[in-house]
Formats: sequence, C-alpha cells, structure tokens
Amino acid sequence: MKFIVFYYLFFNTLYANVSYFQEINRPDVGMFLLFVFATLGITYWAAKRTKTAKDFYLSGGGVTGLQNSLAISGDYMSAASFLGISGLVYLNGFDGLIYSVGFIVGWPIILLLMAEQLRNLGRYTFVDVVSYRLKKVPIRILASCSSILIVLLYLVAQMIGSGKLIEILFGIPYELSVVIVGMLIVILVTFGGMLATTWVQIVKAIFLLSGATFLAFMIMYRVDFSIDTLFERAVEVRNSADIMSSGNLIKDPISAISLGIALMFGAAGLPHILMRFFTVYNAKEARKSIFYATGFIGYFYILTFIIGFGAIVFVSGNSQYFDPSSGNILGGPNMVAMHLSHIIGGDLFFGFICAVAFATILAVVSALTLAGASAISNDLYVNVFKKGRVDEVKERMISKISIVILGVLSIILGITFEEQNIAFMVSLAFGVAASTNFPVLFLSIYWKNLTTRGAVIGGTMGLISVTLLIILSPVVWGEIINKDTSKAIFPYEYPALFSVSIAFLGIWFFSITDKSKDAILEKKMFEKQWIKSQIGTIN
Amino acid sequence: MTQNEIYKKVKEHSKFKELVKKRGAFVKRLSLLIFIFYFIFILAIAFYPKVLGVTVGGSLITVGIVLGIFIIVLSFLVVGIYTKKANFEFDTLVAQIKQDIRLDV
Repeated sequence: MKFIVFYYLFFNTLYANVSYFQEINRPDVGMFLLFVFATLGITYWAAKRTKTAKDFYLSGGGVTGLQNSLAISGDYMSAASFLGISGLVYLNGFDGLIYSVGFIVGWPIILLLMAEQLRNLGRYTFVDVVSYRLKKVPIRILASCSSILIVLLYLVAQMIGSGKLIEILFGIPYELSVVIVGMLIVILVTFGGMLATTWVQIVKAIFLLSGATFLAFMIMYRVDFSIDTLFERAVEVRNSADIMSSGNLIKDPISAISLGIALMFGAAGLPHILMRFFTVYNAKEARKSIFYATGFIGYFYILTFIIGFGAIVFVSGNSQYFDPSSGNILGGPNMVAMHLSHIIGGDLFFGFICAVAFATILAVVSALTLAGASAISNDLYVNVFKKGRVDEVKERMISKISIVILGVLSIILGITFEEQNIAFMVSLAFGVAASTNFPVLFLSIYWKNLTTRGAVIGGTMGLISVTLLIILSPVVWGEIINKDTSKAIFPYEYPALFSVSIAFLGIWFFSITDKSKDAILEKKMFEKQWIKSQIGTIN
Repeated sequence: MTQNEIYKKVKEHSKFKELVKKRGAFVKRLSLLIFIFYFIFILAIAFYPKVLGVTVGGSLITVGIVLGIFIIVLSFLVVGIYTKKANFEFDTLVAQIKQDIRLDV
C-alpha cells in the first residue's frame, strides 16, 4: 500500500516538473534529471546519518530482511542485467538466457553452501572467515587484490552503460559522458557511504522492477499476450529460427562450460554481494532476504528475456533508432531496452526508464566503489601496512583517496572498452571471483587440509592466470590492442574453466605439500572452526 | 569452562549430531538438484545445442527456453525451501544446543 502511495506521489511530482521542463521541450530530460536529483537527495539524507566507520561500510548492521533483499536485488540487477542481457537477447536470442540462468543459480549455491558458515564465522567481510584459521595478512592481500580487479571490471561495465545512456539522451559524446558519470559517482560515494548506497539500491530496485514489468507488459499487450506470437514475429523479423536455439553467442563447448562455471561460482566470490550478508543482524532475516532477492532477481530475468525479444520485434527496422550513415543501432546493442521504452511509452516513459537505468548504474557503482575502497583502505592500508593501528579519520581519508583513484581508472577503462557488451564485462568479473575468492573461501570452509601457503599460492595462481587470459583474449589482445580478433593469443573469450582449475589445483598441491609447523596448527584448528561454522558463537 | 571444553561439549551433544546430520543431508539433496539441472543445461549448450532448439508442443517455444526458465524458478523454490526449513527447524536445534551448553557453564 505504502508502495502505491509512493508511486502515485512520485508520478504526480514528476508531472509537475515535466510541465516545467516543457519549455525546453524535452520531457524525457526533465524526467531524467528529476530522478537523478531524487537519488542524490536520498544520498544526502542518508549521509547525514552516517557517523562511524561501521555505518559507512555496513549501514550500521540494522537493515531488515526485506530492505536487505531489495538492496541485494539492487546490487545484482545492475546495468549488466537490464541493459546487457536485453542487448544480448536482442542480438542472439536464446543465448542471452544463458547469462540469466547462470546469474541466478549462484544464489542457491551461496545460501546452501556458504551463507550459514559466513554468518557464523565472519563479522564484516568474507576475509574474516578465511582468516579464522589461516594467517590474516597474506589472505587479506590476496583478497584485496582480487576484489579490486573484480570491482574494476564491474565498474567498467557500469561505465559503458551509463556513458552510452547519457550519450543517447543528451546527445553529448561518449567520452564526455563517461567523465561526467565518473565524477558524479565519486561525489556520491565519498559523501554517502554504505547506508546511502543501501537506500539508493532499495529505491532503485523498486523502480527498476516496476519499469521492467510495465515494459514487458506492454510488449505482451502488443502481441495479444501470446508468447508464441512474440517469438513468431521475432523469427519473421530475423528471417531465421536461429534465435530460438543455442549457438549464436556461445559457439564452442569450452566457452559454454567456461561461462557456466564463471557465472555459477562467481556470485559466491563477489565482495560487494558477500558484504550484504553482514548488514542484517540475524540469520533468519539474512536467509529471508536471500529468498526474496532470488524471487525479485529471477522474475526480473524473465522480464529481460521478454524485453530482448520485444526489442527484436519492435526496434529492428525502426529507422529512428539507427544511425542513417552506418546502419548501426544508436548507442550500440546495449541500448535496445532504452529504445524499446521510447517506442512503448513515448518520451515520458523513455525519460523514466533512462533515469531508472542511470540510477541503477549509480547505485551499483557506488556499492562497488565502496567495496573497492574498503579493500584498499581497510584491508590493505589499515590491516596490512599499519598492522591494525590507525585512527578512523585517517582510514576514511585513505578510503576517499581510493574512491577517486577507482573513479579515474574506471573512466579510462570505460572509454577503452566502449564497444563491449555490458553483461560480457560482468561475466569477466564473475570469472575473476570464481578463480580467486571462491576457491579460497570454499576450501577454507570445507577442506581440513587447506593451509595459508596453499591458499595464497593457489589463489595468486588463479588471479594471475585469469588476468593474463583476459588480456590475451580475443577481446583485449585481439579487438582492443590489435584491432583484429584473430590475433588473440588465447582463443577463448571466457577464461574461467582454465583459471578456476589452476586455482583449485594450485591450492590443493601447495596445501598438501606444506609440512610447516603453522600448517599442522592450521589443520588442527579445522575442527573448532567446523563446529563454530555450524552453530556460531556461544555466550 | 575453557573454549576447548565448550567445543568438545557441543561436538558430543546429541542435538548437535542431529543438526549436522539433518542439515547436511538436506543441503546435499537440494544442491544436487540445482547442480544436475544446471549442468544438463550447460552441457547441452556445449555439446548438443541442436537439442535445445527442438520446439515444444507445436509452438516456437524451445526445449532450451523451457529448461532455462525452469532453472530460474527452481532456484527460487530451492532457496525458499531451505529458508523455511532453516528458520523453523535448524535454528530451533541450534538454540537448544546453545541453551544446554550455557546451562552447563
């Protein structure tokens, strides 16, 4: 009920503002600006309530299950899910669904295999869990390095999405758009902290879910609510039934398995997702929040599939959305959901969806930047360089500097990776998570013989191999460096099958051959850790 | 009581054994369910993409689409089933164990 009132109020105020903006005859821009300012307003409000470092990173630990589930859904339904997957479905049909399925199966895996242990053993981050019996410092260095790489790849994906969005909405060049977005993010995160990003995520998740629902509903309305008619018309447009089966995007078995592994296990190694497990104060609420979140996310992925097919039917052949000279779709395939919203709901709805997509990106980016900054300032600086002795003021300063550095890096990389699909970029981040954080965390929970040496060497091998394979891939070495995909040294776009195996093998080998005194102690501590992981602390 | 003694007591507690056994078996069954369907999906994409393109019931809906949507729904159901079981059954066991141990202290 509250939600309906909120919605009603939102559209009413929106309408008032829109008439104001009609002076410049751009209702879409008015709609867009209004929402972005609303988002910043929420951040400002939340920022005033952020007092301590704990508030800054963990929103004070006092978030309810439903709020947390919306925040998790918000983190997860990033530009990759909305713009990226609908773009992939538009281009490849069925193969886009592989991403949706892979993104969602990570959730049961997290809940069944890791969630209890994470909560019972950890306090702030997953590193607490791993360092329960392993040495803190080397584990922290490894986890921070992989987290920074994950965050960067994720950030780049969001930058591409927002840059393109600003480009098609305002008609300014892509590079400039990316710079503007980067600056906005730095401001948002430095002042807001985790509580602000939590609230931005919650608000945005509600708008994104309702916007996508409306979009999918209108598509279905136009095809008389027959999914078969939708598919028939899509096949007609493409003049081939290829889009109904696999093989357009994923062309060989290695790529299929590699992508499958990255998506399933990557989710359980994403620092900004794992962080959300500690923002809810009791286990019941934490589980419930995963349950609701899986529902929201799953529902949303089914919508993106419909939206992608809707785009094939309604955007294709609509000359308004194509560059007359090159014949390419304006803003690239990542923008089909935007164009579709214009066809379905006109300028106003287009402005609204643009704002929702942009808020999505701002929110995800804020959460990511914050996770990255906490990896640098809290994990690396405080705990590694300063051995835990540093005051809060200094820590927050370092964190703010890291935010600026991450912002600048993601601007540069966002421009470099301009032409890439957003969901693909995120799948690389999942690949890194699956090759480093996931094996270390998983084995620390389940494998008695894991030692610090094994975890650090094996995890590093995973991190190095995944980084190298991404650089040598057809996308980076081929397309970006040599402007020719056939020049790639590593023939596959998806590295996970290789790098995950290397990580697991490395960890296994360097653990079982570790005969040091520490190793014996670490193995001995497993039983205690195992008991605690089952029931938590007693007192 | 020292930490070690507490852990020893927990480990030997009959309800702890019950919890570990029950939860372990439950988790194993549910994760196997997800793993099996997901790997069928991925391996079909890898080795038998044509099978996924077979249409169902005279419409254009393919086996691949049905399987994909099914896994999304299954994920949601599995998470829901576990949440219910953990919140009502496992948590009660955990609380009982903790209380017994505390009374002992």
